[in-house]
Amino acid sequence: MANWTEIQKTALARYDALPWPVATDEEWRRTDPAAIQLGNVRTRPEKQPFRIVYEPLAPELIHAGVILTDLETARKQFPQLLERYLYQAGNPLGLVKFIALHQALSTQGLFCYVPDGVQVELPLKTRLELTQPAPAIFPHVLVAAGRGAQVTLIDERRSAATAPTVCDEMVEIFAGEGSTVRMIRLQQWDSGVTELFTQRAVLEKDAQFLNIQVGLGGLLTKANVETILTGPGGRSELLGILFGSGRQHFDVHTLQDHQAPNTFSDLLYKSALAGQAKSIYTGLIRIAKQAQKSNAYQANRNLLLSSEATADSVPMLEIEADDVRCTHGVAVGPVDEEQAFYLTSRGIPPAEAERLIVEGFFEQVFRRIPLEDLREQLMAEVNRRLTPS
Amino acid sequence: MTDANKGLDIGQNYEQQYGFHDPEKYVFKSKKGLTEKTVEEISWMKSEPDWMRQFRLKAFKAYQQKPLPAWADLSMLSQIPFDDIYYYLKPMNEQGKTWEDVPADIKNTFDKLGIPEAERKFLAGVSAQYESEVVYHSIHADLEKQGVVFLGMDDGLKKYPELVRKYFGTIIPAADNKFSALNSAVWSGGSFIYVPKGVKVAIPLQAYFRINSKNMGQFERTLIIADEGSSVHYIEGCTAPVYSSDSLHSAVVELVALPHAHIRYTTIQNWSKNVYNLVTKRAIAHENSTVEWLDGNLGSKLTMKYPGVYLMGRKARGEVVSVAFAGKDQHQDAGAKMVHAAPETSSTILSKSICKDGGRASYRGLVKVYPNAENVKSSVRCDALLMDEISRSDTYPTMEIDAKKVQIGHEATVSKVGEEQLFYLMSRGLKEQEATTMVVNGFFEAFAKELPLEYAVELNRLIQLEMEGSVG
Repeated sequence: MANWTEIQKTALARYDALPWPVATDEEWRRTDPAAIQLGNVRTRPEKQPFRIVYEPLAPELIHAGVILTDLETARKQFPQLLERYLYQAGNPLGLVKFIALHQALSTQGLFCYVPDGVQVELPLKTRLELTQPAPAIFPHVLVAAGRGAQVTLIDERRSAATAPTVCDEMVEIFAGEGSTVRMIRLQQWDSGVTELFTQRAVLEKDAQFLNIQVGLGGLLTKANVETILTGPGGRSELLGILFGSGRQHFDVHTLQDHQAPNTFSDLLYKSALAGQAKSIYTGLIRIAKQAQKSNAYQANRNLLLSSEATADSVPMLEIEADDVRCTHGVAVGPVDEEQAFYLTSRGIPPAEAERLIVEGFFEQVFRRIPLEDLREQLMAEVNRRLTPS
Repeated sequence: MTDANKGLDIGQNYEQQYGFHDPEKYVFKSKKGLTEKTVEEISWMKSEPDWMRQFRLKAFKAYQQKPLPAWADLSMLSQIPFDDIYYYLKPMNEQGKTWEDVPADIKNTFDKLGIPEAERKFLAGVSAQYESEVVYHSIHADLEKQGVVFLGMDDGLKKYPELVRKYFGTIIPAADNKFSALNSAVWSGGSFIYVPKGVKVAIPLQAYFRINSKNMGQFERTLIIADEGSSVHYIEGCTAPVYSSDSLHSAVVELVALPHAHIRYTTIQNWSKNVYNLVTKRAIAHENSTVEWLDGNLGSKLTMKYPGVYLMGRKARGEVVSVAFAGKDQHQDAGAKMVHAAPETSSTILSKSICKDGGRASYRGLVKVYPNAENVKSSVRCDALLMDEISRSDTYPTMEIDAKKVQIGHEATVSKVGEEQLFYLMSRGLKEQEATTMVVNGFFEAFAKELPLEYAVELNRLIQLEMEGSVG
């Protein structure tokens, strides 16, 4: 059996050994590492400063072997499953020091398991809420879908308490052969939260993965979202909606790692930026020699709503197989003046016109959300965020 | 068949056409490796003003302090035998005014490369550099009468010290990067061009750079100033013998386009596969001016080159068309930089690359828009063709947009030569290799269209040479 205490001790030693990132590191060129105010956090708080909320599973799902529980409970009740999946998604490319700290101090989070052949039709809704001030929290989300399984998870982040907090979070997703996994993360932290976020999804043969990152809250986000296509026929769709205002800062890195032939990946990240908000998108498509007949796409679009908002975009390709099709695109631009003029000339107030334009800008992502209820819920959340209070 | 394919000696290869070398004769050759003494020696041999000597020494310090760039292809870059390189080699005492003044071996080399012939046919001026020095130089009399200056950089410094001092090292500071620092310390040769107000130089000026010796380091330095409302087209070409040991070519090219001026700078880089080509090229574009870089990279072992335009004046325009061909043991790491620092500036970057036989082509670029540079437009388009499963293509573009009213776009595609296209052409009776060449030529067409006809033919021929025997 895995000795978790030992694993955590090793991770803490690794954390101590790794240097603190500096602004000259390629990874930190556009986000000042000094902004990560972790202080000297080395121990777990007595009482978990966040709460995990989810509806209990329907009896027939429990009967079929589906698990949805918090990670601490899972550790006690399903030690074999945890040993099989926890920290087994491989090494992410970035945020290494903070991943070490996460491993050292994370105990709580969410565990979702769907056995072979079981299809969970309705989306599972989960929420993580910051309940009391804490210098740092370390939530861990672990999702594993067996062969031919299907699951949709809508996972929300909210703050019930306001205080400067660093959220050092890690999400691991395992999509077994022929499975379908959809993960929607709705991030609505309040403005006290600095977020260090790592997500790594490992797709086996013919697995299908849809991920939507909706980033609305927080003060600073430094995220690393990775999909590893390890088996032929895998398909990954990564979508992102970011809306920033005030001094919000989003620095998102993505990886589409094609390690097997006949794999497909598509990425579309859209950000709309008001105030002095800043968006940094860097993304890499990597196609290994053996990953022939793969297709990969990557698009990043930025809408600048104010003259002080800024957007950096670095979409990268590293292609080592020849029989592939790979494209990427980037666009940065302001609100189309003609559109704005058209709307205001119809008597729509300028703020409302801008909201409509932003909604239209995000529409392309919303349209790709397969479930109508979910699509409407997300549009409503984004709208609420866009409507000046 | 395209015109370019008619009557070509397809059997020839680089080794025979460009890879020959003359016996080594020189009037001075510095010791292997580089010390402060070598830098002092070069400056002394050239009887330079003190400010240039100081400039070199300061640059040398910067060169020593700077590490190799961490983002580069270090597996290749760290192989450069810096201590085995000869940093200065003077082939003859006096620069030739006619080809007859040039020593027979050297003249013979340039004859083989077709330079005197090209000069007669379609050039307004020629500069021929052999090792570290310009050995021949000419310019049409009528251009000279209009005040156009086209000299070797060393002569430029002697004859126009004020003008050189005003601009030299201001567009690319010595400490900009490790290799600009190296060039600033040991530069020799290159071109100095000044085009007076309103003068349009209708026919291209050309410089040809030839390395002859083994383990040679060539560090030419070029400065082009196009005064208000003037225009000029400068073309450079280069080749070297094939040796088993490596040479280093590290140039610095600075362009100044004053208001309403137009500069076009064309490069056909065809170094042998034992040359590291690490070049810094940058232009300043003032109000309403246009700077175009047409950058063709076919040869060399490792090329690192990202021609840039700093758009400093309202309505300035920058354009880069970059094509690269990476074959066996080659890495073409090329791209472009567009820095928008003024309103209503615009830029386009078009990059096309082909890799085969294990070659690697990387596009690396930057589009930067400073705050208050409103109504800026920029578009970047990168296409890469992979010819086989052992080659590699990378795209590393960077966009930093700090202004609101801008339209910025980037698109890139990587694909392999279309089987359908090949099938179609072969069903029309073309052999597989001919069909592939035709597809490749079509892929590069945007570049070739921008070139003077003679160069378009030359480029097609080079591609043809590279293609020989590679397919089928």
